[in-house]
Amino acid sequence: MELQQKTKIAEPQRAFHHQKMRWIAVLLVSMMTAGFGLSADAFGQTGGEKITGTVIFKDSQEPIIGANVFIKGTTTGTVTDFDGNYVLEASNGDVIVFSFIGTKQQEHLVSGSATLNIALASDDMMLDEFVVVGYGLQKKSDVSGSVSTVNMDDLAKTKSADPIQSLQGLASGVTVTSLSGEPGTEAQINIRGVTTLGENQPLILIDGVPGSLSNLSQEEIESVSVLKDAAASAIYGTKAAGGVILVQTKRGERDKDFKVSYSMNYTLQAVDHFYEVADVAEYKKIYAMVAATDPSKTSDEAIAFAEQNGLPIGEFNGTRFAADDYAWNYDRTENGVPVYANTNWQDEMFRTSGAQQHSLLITGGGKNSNMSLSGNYTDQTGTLIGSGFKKGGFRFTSDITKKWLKLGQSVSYTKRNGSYFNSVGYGQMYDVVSAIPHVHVYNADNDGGYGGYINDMPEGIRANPVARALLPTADYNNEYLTVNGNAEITFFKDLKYKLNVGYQSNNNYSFDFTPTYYVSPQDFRDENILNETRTRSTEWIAENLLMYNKLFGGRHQFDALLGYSAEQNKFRLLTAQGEDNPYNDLPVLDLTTKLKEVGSNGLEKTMLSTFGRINYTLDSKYHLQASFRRDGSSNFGSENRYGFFPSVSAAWNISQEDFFNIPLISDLKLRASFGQLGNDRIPSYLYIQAITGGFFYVNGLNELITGMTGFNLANQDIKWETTTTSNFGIDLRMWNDRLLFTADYFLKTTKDILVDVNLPLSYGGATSQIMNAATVDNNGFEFSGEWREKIGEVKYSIGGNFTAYKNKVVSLGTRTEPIWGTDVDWNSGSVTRTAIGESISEFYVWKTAGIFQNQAEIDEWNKQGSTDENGFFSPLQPNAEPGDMRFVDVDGNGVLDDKDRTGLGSPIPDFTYSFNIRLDYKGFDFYALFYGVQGNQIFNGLKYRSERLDNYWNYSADALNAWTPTNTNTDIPRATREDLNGNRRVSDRFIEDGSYFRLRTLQIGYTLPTAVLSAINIDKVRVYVGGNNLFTATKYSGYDPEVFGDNVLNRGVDYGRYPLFRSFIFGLDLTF
Amino acid sequence: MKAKNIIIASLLLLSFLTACKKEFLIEDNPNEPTTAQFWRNETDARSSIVALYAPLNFQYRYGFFEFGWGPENWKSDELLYGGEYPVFYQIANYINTPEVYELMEFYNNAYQYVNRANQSIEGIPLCTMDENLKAEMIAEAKFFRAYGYFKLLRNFQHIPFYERSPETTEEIYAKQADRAVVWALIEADFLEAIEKLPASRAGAEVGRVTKAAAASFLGYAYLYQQKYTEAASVLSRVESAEFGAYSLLAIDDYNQNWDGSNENNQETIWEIQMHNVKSDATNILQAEFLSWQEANASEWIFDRFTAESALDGNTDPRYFKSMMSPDLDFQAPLGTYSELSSSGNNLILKHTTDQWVAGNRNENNYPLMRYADVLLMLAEAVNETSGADAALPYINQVRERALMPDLPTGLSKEAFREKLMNERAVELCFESRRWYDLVRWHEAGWIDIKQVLMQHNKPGAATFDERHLYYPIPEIEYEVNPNLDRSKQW
Repeated sequence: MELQQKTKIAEPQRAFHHQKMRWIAVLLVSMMTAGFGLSADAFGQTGGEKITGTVIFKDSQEPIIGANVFIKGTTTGTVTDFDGNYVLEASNGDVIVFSFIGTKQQEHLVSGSATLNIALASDDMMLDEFVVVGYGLQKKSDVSGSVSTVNMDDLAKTKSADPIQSLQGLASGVTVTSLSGEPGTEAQINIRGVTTLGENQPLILIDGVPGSLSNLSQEEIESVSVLKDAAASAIYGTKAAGGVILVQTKRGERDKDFKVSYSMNYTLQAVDHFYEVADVAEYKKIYAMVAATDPSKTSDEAIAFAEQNGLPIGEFNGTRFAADDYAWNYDRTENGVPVYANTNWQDEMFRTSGAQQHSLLITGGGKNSNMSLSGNYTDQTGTLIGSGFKKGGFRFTSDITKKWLKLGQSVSYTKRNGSYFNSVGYGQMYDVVSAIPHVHVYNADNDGGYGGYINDMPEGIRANPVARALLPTADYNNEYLTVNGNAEITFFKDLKYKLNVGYQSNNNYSFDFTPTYYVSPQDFRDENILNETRTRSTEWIAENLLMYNKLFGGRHQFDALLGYSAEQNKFRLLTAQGEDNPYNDLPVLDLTTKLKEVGSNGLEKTMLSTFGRINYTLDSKYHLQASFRRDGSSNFGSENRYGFFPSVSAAWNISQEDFFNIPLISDLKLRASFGQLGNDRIPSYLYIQAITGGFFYVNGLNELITGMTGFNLANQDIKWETTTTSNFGIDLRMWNDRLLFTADYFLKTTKDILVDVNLPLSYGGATSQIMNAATVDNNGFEFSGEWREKIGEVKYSIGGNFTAYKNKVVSLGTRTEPIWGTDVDWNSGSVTRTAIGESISEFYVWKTAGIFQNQAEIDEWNKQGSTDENGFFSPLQPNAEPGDMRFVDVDGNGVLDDKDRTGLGSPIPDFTYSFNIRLDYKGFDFYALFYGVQGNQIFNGLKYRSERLDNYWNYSADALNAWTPTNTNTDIPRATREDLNGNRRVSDRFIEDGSYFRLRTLQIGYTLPTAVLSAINIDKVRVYVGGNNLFTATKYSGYDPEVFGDNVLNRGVDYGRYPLFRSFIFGLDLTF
Repeated sequence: MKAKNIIIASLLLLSFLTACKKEFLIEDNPNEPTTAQFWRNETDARSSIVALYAPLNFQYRYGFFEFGWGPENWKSDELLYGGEYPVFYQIANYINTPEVYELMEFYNNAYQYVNRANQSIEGIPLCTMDENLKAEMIAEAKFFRAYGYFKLLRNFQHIPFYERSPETTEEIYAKQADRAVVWALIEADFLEAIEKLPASRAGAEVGRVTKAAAASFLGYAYLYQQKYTEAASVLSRVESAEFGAYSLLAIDDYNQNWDGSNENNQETIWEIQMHNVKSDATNILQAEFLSWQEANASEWIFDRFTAESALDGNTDPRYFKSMMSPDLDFQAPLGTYSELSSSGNNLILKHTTDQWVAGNRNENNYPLMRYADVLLMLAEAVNETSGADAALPYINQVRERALMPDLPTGLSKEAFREKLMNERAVELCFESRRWYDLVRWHEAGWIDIKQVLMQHNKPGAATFDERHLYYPIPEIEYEVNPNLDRSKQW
């Protein structure tokens, strides 16, 4: 403690790590001093010469305090004092090792000279050696669990509006998938597979407190650690089954002048390509194909009616039909004005949109204090009209140290607001591709001003997607406040107490208003509707930590942690709705006259936890760690209120052994760990038998009255889901630390996963109950490696990582039925199922076997039919005609039915991989990140929607190639209005290889020479250009292969969501 | 050093947090009262009673037709299925499997009365409230328990039985009970309801069950068990106005039993209250019968209406209020046959109104027990116990209202049965009665149901066998409930 007060600590090179460095330096100095004191007592010192000298930083030429000075191969040594001086007795021929964190170690032979002054050079690699782990920092060489750290330079270069998206490809075992390209949508993070049927997202802690990563700006982030196995994350107990991501934000540095950094970038965003659909001329052909099979158009009456009334008669392959004017005479004009449009809806819907991000960071500190202040602003316009998002916020942090007390705080506030893209139906893009080009975008005569129905267009013609997108307002507004404080008290050198308190409040407001409008007889609103919703959630957490660390006998390093924490979450929702406000331009509920409704509900959750951890290291060779956490959660009933989550792990630094003598290998460590984690993200109150309201009836006065009854059946036995993980890993460094390599193999089993299990219908209340029943296995392998080297002026590195896992549902408890996903389109039936023995969300659809070319083929195929007890034979596909799809009778019973659906691939990739290239030459820097996904399948909902050919919507350009008697060499079945054969049913036709390889990030920067800048008093200026998703190689035919689906049970189903985009970025970083 | 103080302070802090541990972790559900919080007073008791009634109108727009009316009527010979929905077709043709979703809903709906009634029966005694009112409400819950079980026994052969709210897992997975055990509970519950329920309801209470409703249903339950003496006795108490005076509407107002213009009238003993306050609180029978024409009247029922002329020599006037055939077209309020249909099938008019309401909805109440039914049941019971002549006044009241000639005296018991069966078919067509009448007459040995169905040209009659008298216990029940006997599914 005294040390801290007196000393002016020199600055290591990299500001990022400075704060932590100091902490560790002080810690190490005290440990070492204590340790060597002991060792000196025990062994005495060899009676040699007295060697003295000073150890300084090579770059800054400032003295290093606490640098280690050892005689190699012994435990004899000392540390430098506050001026960097040391005294050590050594004999001639001894090798003295000088080392300090963040620098390259040096060895010097003692040969006569009594003075050895050393300048240690900084080592980037060494700086990375400390990682943030649960409740502390750990030397990477001591870590026995599986922890990935994200390279901050790489993170900084992938400029996404949401830092979560920027994490893609930056750490092994971490899968980041965008849900859509809509601004403001959070991406999904999965760590090591899909462990549960519900929420799989990891626990994200920001400065130790649960928080929202999306609400940070990338520039505020100092470090990101990903805790992947149980040994690393079990200290977070019942919340950690999805893994843990620890994010540290930047704080100021003590004794440092204020530093001001400003970054900005401007981004241009556009979708990679459009989905090709027919224009009016092509539509005529598609229309003809469908109409020729439409009995209501081909009947004699229909044709006679058309002839009598002078309506167009079409013909396709010899079949005459009564055609609609819009389709047949699409280029007709009246008074020289075209009656119908030729709208390219994607042109109307998509745009090249701009985004800008600004961030300002001020850091600095005085003798006993430091602070940082940061602000950020993002304004992103959506690539689809009517959508966009803005985010702005600030963060203020400060720390003070007074004698034995350290106090720290941070306050941050983020405000986001945006507008959702409005669409209807199952997929956001479905209507866009199905809209017929004949409709005019605008029509001033219609209420609302949008075009639609013209003349005799039949019912069922798709609406105007521009009107859909722009008529309703769907705005949201979010305010997020966090206040964190901590106090650390040092009792003795070895024992500290820390109190951590965090509070956050999250307020959401959404405003949905649809005015009255008229587009067509099927699409209009006579009465406007307004819905306003507010939610408020608050959360506080208080943690008490006791930390002890001591080195015994120079060899036995003990670290211990004991903690106690309490937390509480509260949530409240308030909604209000009303209809028929006479003023479209005054959308307030006070003016609505009908169907006013209000509602509210809430949620509360508390948790109490005790946790602890012991680390033991012997001679830096053998590492043992054991941890536990005991969580009590209000989410569980009294029987299961407390969960206990233990873990153990061990590591062996073989390269430290005397017998290990491979010069090529500078470091080799083997790791093994085992432990248990929980998932408490289950609905609250499942164990409380409640009385439910809202059962309505009508009384004798014709008024609606509501009653209450016990409906849901409480499950007293409800508990957390438990994940048991084993991990085996290896860390390797070779060629003088130029090659780094880490590999891990893991086995994860999650038990007691919540599943909705059917209750007897005779129970008479709810027909299902949530139970802990299912078991899912995830076994996998991951590695990451990096090669870095400096050749002359050129510094380069190549890194990569690889993740592969297999997912398998082992059990669904007493449930025997698979869990089906939701429909991909109206009445399509589901396309995924989760069943025992398969992976979660496997595709389960009908299997096709090509197209029937003629009646002979149909007859042959239909011999597979079945004969009933009366000897009556039913062909397999009785309604098939040439051009229809063959479907395989998978169960071979001669009947084509629901039981012939079969497993046709998994949305979970065989593996994902990424690699990056970094290059620095003089002031120039280059960075490229490639990301790939291999071996997964996607159900292409957009294709399902746009190749149906059974209605008069618009279709994809591919549909022009549908089977006709003259176009037989195709894999698209014939158009058929009635589709008696069921060509449209969900089948392997729509399952596509989802593999892709993409240039995720590219950035080229230039840092102006210092000489130029010092004249204008600026420390650093860097300009750059780059982009995200610049190039994608894939066979997938939809907008983009990065498809998540709408939840874990519908993974890999492309509902035609808002497409991801490609972006070009120009930016500037400035520091003074 | 001050460290000592700090240690003390922090230990205090720790122990403080530890001390509040117990209460800190227990969070009550902020959205719903727990079972322990509920059952405080009359308000809660009343609220639980409203929930008993809620399943009657299915809370769901299509449910009333698909899960409510449909399963009670599809199988009867008065009906012809005219739609394309495979499952309804299967039910109507006696080829349904135990996996039919609509029947699962139907089955579950009946158990909702049982579950909610048991909760009320056990919970209302805990409420602090007027003791008489308490007894009355408990009796009301018992009425519903009996109503639910009676519905189950009419439709399923071997039903899982719950005498009280299940508390343990074993009780949730109930065993199938002997029918006699369930009948005994039904009778006891209805008897208590007769005793404790009020004779009449007024104002906002109208629509809630009364002594007469309990007595009428008890009579119906006795008839089902061929307990004619008991049936005659309890039904005559209704007829003698012991529970309040009921009478038949004039023939001109016959329609008011269904068309919403005179709900809860003098002929009503109990009816489902409907109101189009919320778009999903209403029945959709009008849309089904006249727009989509899924359910149509059979030729046989049309023949019943035309087999006998009214006193004035014209067609039975009930025909014009009940159905419409292309062979006997007329101007109904909503149009003529040719305006309303092109399929050639006979249309059902009962349960429709005289106008179209926006969205094809109608909001008219649905009768569950009419006085006409009570009279016919009484006639049936009295014929069995005291002979046809004693039964004549009751059946003739119904015929007189329909302007039909009185039945003659001196009929044999068997001849009277024939007349009575015919009268019930005509008077109560499309009111969820016909199929159950066929079943109980078959069980009483009066008719051979298969022969009747075949004679009446009911589609699917040829493949009908004895097990189709009842629906199978839904297959999913066997997947879920290990205590069910597979041999007792049908």
